[in-house]
Amino acid sequence: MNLEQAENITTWIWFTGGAMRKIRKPKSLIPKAPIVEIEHPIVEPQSVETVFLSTDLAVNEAELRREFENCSDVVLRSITCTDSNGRAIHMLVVYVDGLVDSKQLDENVLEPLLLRQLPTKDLTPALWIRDFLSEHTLPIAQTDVLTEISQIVDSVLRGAAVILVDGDRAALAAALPGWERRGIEEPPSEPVIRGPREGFIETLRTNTAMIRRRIRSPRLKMIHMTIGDLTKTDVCVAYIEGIAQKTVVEEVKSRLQRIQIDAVIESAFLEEFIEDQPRSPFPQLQNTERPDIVCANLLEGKVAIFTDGTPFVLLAPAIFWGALNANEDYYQRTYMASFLRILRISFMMISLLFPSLYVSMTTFQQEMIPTSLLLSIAAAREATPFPAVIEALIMELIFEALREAGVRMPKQIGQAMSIVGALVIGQAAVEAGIISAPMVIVVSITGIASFTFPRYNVGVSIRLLRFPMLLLAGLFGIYGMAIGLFIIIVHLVALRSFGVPYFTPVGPTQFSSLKDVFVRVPRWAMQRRQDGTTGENSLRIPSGQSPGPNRGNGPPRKRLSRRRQGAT
Amino acid sequence: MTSKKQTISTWQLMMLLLPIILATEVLPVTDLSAKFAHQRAWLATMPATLTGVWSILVMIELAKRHPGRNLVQYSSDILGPWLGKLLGVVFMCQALIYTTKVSAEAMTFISMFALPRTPKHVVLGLFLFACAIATWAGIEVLARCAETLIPILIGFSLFVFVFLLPNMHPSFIRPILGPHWLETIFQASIVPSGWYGEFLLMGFLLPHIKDVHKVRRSILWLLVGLGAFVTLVALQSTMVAGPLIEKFIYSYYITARYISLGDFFERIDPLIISIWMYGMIIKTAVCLYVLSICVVYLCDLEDHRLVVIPVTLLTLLCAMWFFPNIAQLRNFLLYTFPFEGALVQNILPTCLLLVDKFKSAVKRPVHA
Repeated sequence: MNLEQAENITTWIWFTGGAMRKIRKPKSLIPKAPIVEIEHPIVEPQSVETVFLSTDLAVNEAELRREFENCSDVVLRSITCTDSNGRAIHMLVVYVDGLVDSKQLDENVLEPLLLRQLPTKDLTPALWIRDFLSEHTLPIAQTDVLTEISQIVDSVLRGAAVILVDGDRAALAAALPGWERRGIEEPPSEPVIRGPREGFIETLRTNTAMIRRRIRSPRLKMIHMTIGDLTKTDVCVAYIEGIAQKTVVEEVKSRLQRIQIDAVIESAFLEEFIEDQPRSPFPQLQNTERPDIVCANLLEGKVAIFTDGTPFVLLAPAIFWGALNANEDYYQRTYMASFLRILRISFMMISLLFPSLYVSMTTFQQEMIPTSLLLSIAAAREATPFPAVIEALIMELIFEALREAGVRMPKQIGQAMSIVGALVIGQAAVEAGIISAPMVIVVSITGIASFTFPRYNVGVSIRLLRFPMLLLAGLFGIYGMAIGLFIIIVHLVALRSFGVPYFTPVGPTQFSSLKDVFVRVPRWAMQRRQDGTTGENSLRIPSGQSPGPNRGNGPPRKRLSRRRQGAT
Repeated sequence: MTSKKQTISTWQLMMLLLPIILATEVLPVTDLSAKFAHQRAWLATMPATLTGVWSILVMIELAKRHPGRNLVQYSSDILGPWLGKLLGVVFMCQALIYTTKVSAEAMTFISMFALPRTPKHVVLGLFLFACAIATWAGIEVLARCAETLIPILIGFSLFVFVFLLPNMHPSFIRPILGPHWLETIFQASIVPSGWYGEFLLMGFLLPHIKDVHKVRRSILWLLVGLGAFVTLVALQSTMVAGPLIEKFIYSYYITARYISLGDFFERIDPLIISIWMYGMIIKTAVCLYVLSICVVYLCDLEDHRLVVIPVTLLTLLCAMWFFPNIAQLRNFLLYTFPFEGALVQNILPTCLLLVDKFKSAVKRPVHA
């Protein structure tokens, strides 16, 4: 392979994980981002004109040393080997210590060069040595030929070992990524009783491979892009062609390409740039650590956004009711799942309204409380010095503080925290007569209710909205609560996530999709994908698959044939 | 108007029209009708729907003849700019009457039963604030709100009906017939007939519907459902409270107080406030929307959002001036609104339709 050939190759490498593939730059798939003139670029461009490699190794080395100045983890190792003619060939191996697999580097790169006898060829050593290395010596799946200094810098930083040969205008990059990564384990924030126990890890390729393993179809598309001037984070947009809406896919891609940022550390960085209504308290993208949830959502026509460096995958468009669906609903029997859903919805209302309902009932609408209960509440509240609304606010704030402390503290102290908190709030405050016992009960029920959300981020929004509701209840009683709830609902139905109304299928009512909101019908009855998020292919399950004695190899009965006819 | 036309489905239209009729009607209908018909209040609710049928047929016929245009626009088309604008102003005033009336009803209702010690103006202000937010968001959002909340409202009313069953005494509605029964029924049906004429608002909602030709059937079914529901409410209140009913104010609310299940489940009437409030808010928001649309088209403005805040403040002022107490409100509902409503809601659109038909009948030979 000569220089011209090498220059003509426009391949680029991006390796981030176990499964390495050589990918031709998908020009047609990634339209150019709109060129925006930035007055103050985030990062100073290091060199405006491209610097090509020189034939002189010493010049190249000096250039690379200048680029990697003060980078103690970058290794530039000079080696000299001799061919069978006894000619000395100078080479330079560049890699980042810790990013490459040093064992593989030793065995597959350095050992053949230094210890094995190299063959003799008539060509100048510089030209054949690269071919020899890539075609005969190195048992490495992914290699590439680079001609620019900036390309070399880029591949070295992505975990390649780059070999430069004296007298050659091109360098050979061998992908040897071998950094430490976490094992695949069950995500602690989304545990299940029944269901797969795999969770995503911080490496993008491993995560996409988990999806590819579950959906073995070329219709599952994964589009790559790089975001972040400094971090150059790999981001992957996955969707299933024909199931996802084209407009949504295009919208996700164009919104991601619009982002100009120095660094992407977590997927939340992207989320805040691409959501529809940034001032809403409700999250408009779903995030998850579980591959089964991502697969299920891809099959509903949603788009997944993988970000390198975080196990949290974003799913768009998100709808509100999705927050009340756990993945386990689909793995359990339908009655249990439906029961749990109704329970969750009622506890969502409790977590939003229960403290304010208590306040408005004790302050304004005492007639609603049954007499005997009213007497015991009155007896308990007799000694407390605060009005109910102040009491509720104090208790809610303390509860939130306790919860936050419990999350942030190291585990051992966290337990002590909760014991102290429970004792102080539950016991001492009541016995001292500062807080009434019913209020403690109300706050603890609300606390339990706020943890019934399968999706943490929506639960947080509901928890936050509890405070304005509490104030409205303290001022206007049950009337204020009604007004507050109405304003929340107006906001929810006005909200959109990537063009899909957030409150579907209740907000714009779609009767066919209600089968998967308040209840979960059996799998064979969910014949169509959810309206609103799905593209042209909406059929999931052909009808007539309900199991029963009429199905199978037994003698055919009349009902079966009738149903079949009805189905077709 | 806005560049992008907002559309609503037939179901959403039904869900928007339902609170327009129900929200204000259900609470006081029984006691207002019972003033004339006594125990036969429930018989008076069905004849009252006649104005509804009339209004629906006229409005849909007008919308079919002028697709995509609203009442103010096609009154100018039919009557010419000057007379048309004048009629537009009349409809605008009618919309202002609706907003004022409903918010005054909500205000008196809340301050009478829920917050007797809170200043009325604060209650009214909060109410109109919520309505203005929904109006600001536009008709699509309003429609989605309606289809989220109205099924809850209906479900809750049925729940109240079921739980009131033990308290009902069928003997209270006897005698069903008797001397002067027909006169009293028709006399009593005049009051609720005013509310059914509020289908006039369809003149502003129908332009948002994709296919106006398929709407009539659904809306007529809606009217039948509404009539049945109101009859049920009147029967329920009459059978629970008996002859006392004509002494009550907001009889539906008061009879719901009779609910008692065991010793635990009783006095759920404040829940009625909170749930019925949604119907009132949606109705007021739709009326505010119509009012601001009227202003927008009469003044050739761009967007209804421009006028939402002024229109809301105007409603606030009117509600405080015109209906400072419940006696004046009930006087208006009993003696003024049915006749004023029949004129503006039924007779004027019918005249408009007749003029339109006449004009096209005269014009047709020219075209042919």
